[in-house]
Amino acid sequence: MSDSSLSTQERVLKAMSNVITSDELQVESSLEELGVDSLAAIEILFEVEEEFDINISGDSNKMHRLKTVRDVVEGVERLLAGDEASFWGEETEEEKQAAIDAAAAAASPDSAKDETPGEAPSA
Amino acid sequence: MSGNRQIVVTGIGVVTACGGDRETFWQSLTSGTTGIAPIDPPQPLISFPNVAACSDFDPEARFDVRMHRKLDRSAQFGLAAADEAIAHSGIEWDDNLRGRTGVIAGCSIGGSHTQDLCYERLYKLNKVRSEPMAVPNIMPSASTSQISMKYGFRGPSFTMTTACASSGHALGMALWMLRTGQLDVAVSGGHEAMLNLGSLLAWDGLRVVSSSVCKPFADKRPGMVLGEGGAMLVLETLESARARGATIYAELAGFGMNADAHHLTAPSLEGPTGAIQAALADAGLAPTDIEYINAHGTGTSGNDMNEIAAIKSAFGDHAHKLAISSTKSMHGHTIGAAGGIEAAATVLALHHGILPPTINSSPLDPACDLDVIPDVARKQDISAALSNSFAFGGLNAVLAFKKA
Repeated sequence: MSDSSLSTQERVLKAMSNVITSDELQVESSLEELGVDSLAAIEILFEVEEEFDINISGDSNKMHRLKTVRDVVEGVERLLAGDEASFWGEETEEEKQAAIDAAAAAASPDSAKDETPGEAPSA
Repeated sequence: MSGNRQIVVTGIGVVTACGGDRETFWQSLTSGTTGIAPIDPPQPLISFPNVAACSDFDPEARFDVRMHRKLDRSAQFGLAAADEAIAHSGIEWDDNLRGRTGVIAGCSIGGSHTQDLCYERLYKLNKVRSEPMAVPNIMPSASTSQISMKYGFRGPSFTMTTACASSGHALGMALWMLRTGQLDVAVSGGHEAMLNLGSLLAWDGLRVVSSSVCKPFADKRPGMVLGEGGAMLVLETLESARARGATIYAELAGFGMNADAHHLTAPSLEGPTGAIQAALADAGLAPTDIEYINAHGTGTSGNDMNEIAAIKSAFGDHAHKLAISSTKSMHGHTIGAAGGIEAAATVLALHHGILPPTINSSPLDPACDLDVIPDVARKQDISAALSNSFAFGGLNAVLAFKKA
């Protein structure tokens, strides 16, 4: 159950502690150093959604934009402030370039062949 | 590669209601100690009183929190049994051998507890999102993958699902793949965990579950008792076991399987008879070589009478000279794990020269007039034994073991 007397930051840490058992879990911790892999990432998203009863749309491929626990806290704060699309923060330069490349490839005649799948769990 | 390598058992791991490890399991089977107990907590919706639950199994003591979350109870049983069997075998794996080792497990239902929780969240708690680990936890092959990943086994690995014969089929396939050189070591058996409200209610609907305990082959037997658990055997070639000076617990000598093509729940006579004959032929054994059968023996009226008739049909006069027991009277019917758990019991019987009893079987049904070992274990050295698994839907698997 959520406890509204806690700050957003405290609630994010509490939600994440269901996934990350390390004593190193603090607001400045790097997600990479906490060992957050692709499965842990989707579990963290689930726990945060449950804690705040919010929907974080989009797939976990955007997880790399979040470098630290503070990035998750700030994403939740933006989402709670009413900007639903902003949880993940700004698009990175690499993503912008990848989008341009993909558009160019789509325009070329034999585009169907080299679609690169993301890192999402594949069946 | 060779088509006739001899395959032996060098490691055994078991998790059951009557023993959470190999030693306790064997002590219970040979002392006639049951794991069957009242459903806990009580379930008012369920009309039958008892199950065989692994109530001493403590996942938090066995797995860290991250691992625990990635494992349904079914996969936990598979992994725990594999851990014990692998340690028991004493094999020291190098990278080459890891590439030649596979995991072949049986499981009927998969992550039933996870599925039950998902439905509870959705339909009862009105939760709008699902546990993210639900899909990888529900897949029946989860345990096979987890064992493969934990130990780095990269050989052919898969999970078979044939209801109550799942792990009989798994062990049979492991035997054939080892024999033909597709694997050098196999970790094979099965696991099942489905004692949750949704599954119990589904079984209640079939009207085959006992209103008391499990009394295989007894007169007026009340039906089966649902159980849970897992068992894994480490199988390797006789040559490799001898070369490393391993203790050999038994030879897995043959496997027979077929289908009744008859009925969804009622067995045929021809199917089980033919599967027994096929296992004998595959093992190169004559019917008179068999001295003990660990029966499918579910305790239902239909199975037990039919199984006895099939044994008579396959063995003729020799049927009266071989000893029979159903250890389900103690560990319950563990569905997809049953073939593995009962294979472990059969191997231990050959190794120790002790045949476990069928508790609660007296007085016997007059239609089951063979040597069903009652209540007390029998000390008897035997040279060959069968373990029967006959599934709903008529899918039959029989394993033949020889004393090593």
